[in-house]
Amino acid sequence: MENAGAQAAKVLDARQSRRDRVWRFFRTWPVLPLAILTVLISCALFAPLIAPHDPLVGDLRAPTMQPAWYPEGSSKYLIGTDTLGRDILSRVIFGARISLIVAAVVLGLGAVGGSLFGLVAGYYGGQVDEVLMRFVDFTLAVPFILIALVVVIVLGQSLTVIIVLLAVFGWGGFARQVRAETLSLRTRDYVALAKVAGAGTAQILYRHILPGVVNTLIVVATLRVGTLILTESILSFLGVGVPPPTPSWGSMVSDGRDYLDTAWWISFAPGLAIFLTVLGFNFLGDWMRDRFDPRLRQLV
Amino acid sequence: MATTAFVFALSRATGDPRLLFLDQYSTQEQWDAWGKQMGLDRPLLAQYATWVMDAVRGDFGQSLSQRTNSLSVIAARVPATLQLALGAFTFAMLVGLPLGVLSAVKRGSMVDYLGRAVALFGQALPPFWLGIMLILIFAVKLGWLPTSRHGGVEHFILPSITLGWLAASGILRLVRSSMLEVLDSEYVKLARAKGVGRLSIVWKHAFRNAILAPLTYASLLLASLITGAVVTETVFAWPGLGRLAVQSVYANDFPVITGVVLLFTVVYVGMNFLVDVAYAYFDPRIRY
Amino acid sequence: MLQSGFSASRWIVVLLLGGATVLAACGGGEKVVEVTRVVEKPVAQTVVVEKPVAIEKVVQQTVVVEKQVEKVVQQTVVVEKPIERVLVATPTPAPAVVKPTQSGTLIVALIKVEPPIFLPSESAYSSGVFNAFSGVFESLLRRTHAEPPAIGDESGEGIATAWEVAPDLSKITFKIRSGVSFHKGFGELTAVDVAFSFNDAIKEGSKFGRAGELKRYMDRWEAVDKNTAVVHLKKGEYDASWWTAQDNTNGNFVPIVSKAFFDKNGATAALTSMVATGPFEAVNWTGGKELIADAVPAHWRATGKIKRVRYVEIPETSTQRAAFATGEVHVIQPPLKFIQDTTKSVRGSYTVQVDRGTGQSVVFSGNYWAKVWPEKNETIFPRKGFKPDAEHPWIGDPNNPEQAEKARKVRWALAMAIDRDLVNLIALKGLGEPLYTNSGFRPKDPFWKDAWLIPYDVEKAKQFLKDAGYPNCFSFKFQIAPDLPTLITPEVGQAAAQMWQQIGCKVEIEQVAYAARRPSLVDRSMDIPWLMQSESSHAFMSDSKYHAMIPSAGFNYGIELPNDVAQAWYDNRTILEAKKRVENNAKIQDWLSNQGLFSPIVQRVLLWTVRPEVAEWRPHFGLQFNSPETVVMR
Repeated sequence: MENAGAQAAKVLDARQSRRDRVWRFFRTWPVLPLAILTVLISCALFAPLIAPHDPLVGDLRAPTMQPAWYPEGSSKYLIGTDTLGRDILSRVIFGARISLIVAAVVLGLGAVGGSLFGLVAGYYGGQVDEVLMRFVDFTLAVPFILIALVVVIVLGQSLTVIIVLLAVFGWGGFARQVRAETLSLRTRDYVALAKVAGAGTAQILYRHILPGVVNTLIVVATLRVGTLILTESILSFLGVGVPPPTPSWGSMVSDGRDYLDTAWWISFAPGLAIFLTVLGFNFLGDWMRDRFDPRLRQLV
Repeated sequence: MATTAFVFALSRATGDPRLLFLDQYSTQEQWDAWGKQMGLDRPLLAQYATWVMDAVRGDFGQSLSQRTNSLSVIAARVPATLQLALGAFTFAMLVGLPLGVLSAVKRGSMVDYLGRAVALFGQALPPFWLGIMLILIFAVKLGWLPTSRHGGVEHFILPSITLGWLAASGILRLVRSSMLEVLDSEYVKLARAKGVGRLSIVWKHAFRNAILAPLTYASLLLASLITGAVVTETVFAWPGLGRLAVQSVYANDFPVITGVVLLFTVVYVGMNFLVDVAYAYFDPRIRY
Repeated sequence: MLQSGFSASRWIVVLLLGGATVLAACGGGEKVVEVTRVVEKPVAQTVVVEKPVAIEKVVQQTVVVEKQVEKVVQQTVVVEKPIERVLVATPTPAPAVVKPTQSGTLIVALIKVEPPIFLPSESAYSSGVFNAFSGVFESLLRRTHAEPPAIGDESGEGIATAWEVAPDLSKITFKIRSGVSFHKGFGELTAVDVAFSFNDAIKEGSKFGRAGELKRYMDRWEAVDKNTAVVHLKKGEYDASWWTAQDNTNGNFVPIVSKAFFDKNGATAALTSMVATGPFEAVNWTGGKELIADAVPAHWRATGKIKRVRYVEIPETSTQRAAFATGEVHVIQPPLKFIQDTTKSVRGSYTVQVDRGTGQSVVFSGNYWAKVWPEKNETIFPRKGFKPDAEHPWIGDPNNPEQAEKARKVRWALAMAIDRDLVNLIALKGLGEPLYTNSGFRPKDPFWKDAWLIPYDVEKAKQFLKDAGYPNCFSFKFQIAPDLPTLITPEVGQAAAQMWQQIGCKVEIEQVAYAARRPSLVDRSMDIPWLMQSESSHAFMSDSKYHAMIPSAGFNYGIELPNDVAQAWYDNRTILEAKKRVENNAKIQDWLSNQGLFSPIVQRVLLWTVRPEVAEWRPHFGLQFNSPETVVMR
């Protein structure tokens, strides 16, 4: 009797601890974000293989078809079609490509450019710092949307133009963070040692400071993905986003905004994709920050 | 200063504004006369110089599309813009602050994840989608609130939520990280060791110190709310500066464009200044 | 970061800035006394007037239009001999001051509310259109009311009751009616005001939308006496259709404003004087926001039956429809694809057709083939946008017949690849009809030629492309402006683009706002296909569409007719006989159809949806909401 009780307690304990372990596993490792990102990347890479239909050309005789779970829907178009008969699912899958490319290029450029500025500014300080940071402030102060409008009007609407615009105005945040990091790192002992050993500035920056800064870069990048996709969506709303018929999630949500009460899936599907992607990146970024450097918590 | 020069140049680049006003029957003399009146026949630098001199005196020229004083056109939209910005700011604070604290205190729990996810809605959902959804649900289906336009208090609610949700996400994140840092600090550990009550710790000790970073961010946030509301303004037919700016770009209305940009720059610079001030005031380490 | 010490002065600055922000936010309160909006939610009405929103209705009315066209053509043909056109109409007597039963406020949602401009010389095109249809201003001439989409004929009910052209075409004399009062007590309108308004519109440096056109034949105006005004014409420039620019259905008639106000208060104040002569008097007018106008108690022409009209600006389609559904606005003009959904959303709402509507046509711009600008005797060829190269296969070089033929085949191929009926179905929910010409010629018109039809033939299209050297088509940009739904219906263009994709072309849609592209149209640098509305005017008008296809200083489609082809248009300016004019227009159309410089797609219908609170509304022909004085609210 007592034994049974104790045994039962042990079983319960075991189950409890197993649950705890599972829960702790999920808390320690960013499972959800990584899962989302894996799906995202595979969509982007294997889009032509996965997508059931052509994302650019639809069946004009099947406009705004309902998703498959509706009585009038069909399994041919799992998430229905848009006003021109294009399959939403295929467009969402291909849209992953655009989002990923834009994010990668913009953030990549931003990281590289921003680090360059931040490293130099933080390391040298003084006048150099002033001048460089003024420039960064300038890019941050300018109302981006207005400038984007004007630039697109002048240069024409294309994916390249948009990527360049986003990159040029996105690096400010990188520069600032890297500069802050550099400022604190340059006073470290090993830097002083390197200097004494006769290492050149470039070498110091590259070998000693940069590695410490990389963490910051990655975290900032992951947190910026959301803003990036959102900005692209707003540009589409204003008519200066990624030119159709190229499917980008932002422009798809914008295109469907007149139909939120009738053909809601046109906006909802890409919107959900955006949300999950942003969720994934954000949680990943949070996790990395919590894990690798608590000091980075000051980042937004 | 550089900003204005940059924008000035860009606004001239979008096209000759005369082209918008003259029709198929206009003669060459009209063309020239117009150009003279607008000062377009002078070199770019001279135009800029004149503009600066006028601007300093408060004269932004005549709006090309509205035919009245640019300054009054812009000024007329300021109150509505500010009202919306403050409304959104309030919403962002009301949602972001408590959720941020909660997230931090219950770090790692479902509440934390949920809180962050909810805030993420603001960052991931395009504001036009959010705005239209809110209109459809609260104005059309439920009939609780008006759909759009500027008016009494009830007209503020939906636009403020739409504009403020993105900000809420930022606030939440900041508050959360600040709180986490403070909660981990020696100071708080000491308080715990002394046996101070949980609630007291959170509010009296942690929060007061954690609020520093978010507050400094807040003024930058306000600046971005003032300058970046064009989508919300369009969806809710709100007479704000964002929409004015976009329409002016399309209409090649130089005086208004440059005026608005100048205003935005001033706002941004002003807010930065406030940030510096607030930082100095609140950070006990920077006492002089 | 801060270097110096923190002192009280900084506190003051902070407080000041904060206080200023708060003050600025609170400032600018509403200057208008908020009119209690009577949001009339339809109480259980047993008698619901269900106006059928059916295609049938439209078709019937379209048929009426055909008849109307014929009728008018015949009438003008009869008047062949006399040059002097004396229209003596019995001036409608000013109605007795009846105690009006004015009640209700009508709220109309528009995509844009223009700013107040009460001085003709400052009223550029879009302002002029808004002013013309708002109910605040009156035109010199008027047409008889006819059930839309008919146009009506000239009546004597305008500010001018009659006009007479001098036999030597040197001047036109107008009889100005008495009893027209200006708003805000600025006295009675006389010929002096008429002359002032027109002279202001055509003065040097005037920005008036149609200044150039008016200046072509108007030299100056003169008030002979209180009720007689005279316009002196420029030698040899008389255009028999001049009067169509001054009637109430025209979007840019010259509004008659008060000279007394101008004299008293100066030009700057006159700009926003709020003084005109229409059935509604502007009470509060903020550009970009709203226009509130109250009905004049006893108007000389038509006393409004409502108390007030409000035009509010709501730029977003979904928001407009939402406001319509909740009753915050009573009348909206949603894109055609939403008409049915919108009327379904409110029980008892109905649609009103205001106009035959304009068509949608692809323009293959870049084909600038005019060598000379006749009025200036200037050689203008080649234009900036003239690029007959591999990147612009639709642009033909008139100096190279072989290349020109290839380009022609390309254009025809693209035109034949479009299934117009399907586009009508997809973009307009079947409410429109296929369109084949840009110039007002329709298949049932008397001057129609079947040769102008464009067949839907994908095989032939592919063959043509092959002949031209593009067996797999090519890639190009196609411009569709997203921000002017009344002008350009994007779905039409998108559907066409998809059909082109189906024959192998790679189409990239450029979505920049129309206003951004307009300069490139004016300076002839436009070189890509784009979607544009085609003219709605009738084929017998002398100056309907081709003015935008010839050398000029103003708007252009992106095409310039060769000088010899355009000669027919120049000829028309002096020809009074309608039949001859139409023949000339048909000549040009023949050439255009053959060359395929346009690919017209569909004809739209102009429909407004109206809530049941509006018992009656009788608009006249026009592209905008008009005639608020005919509205009766329940």
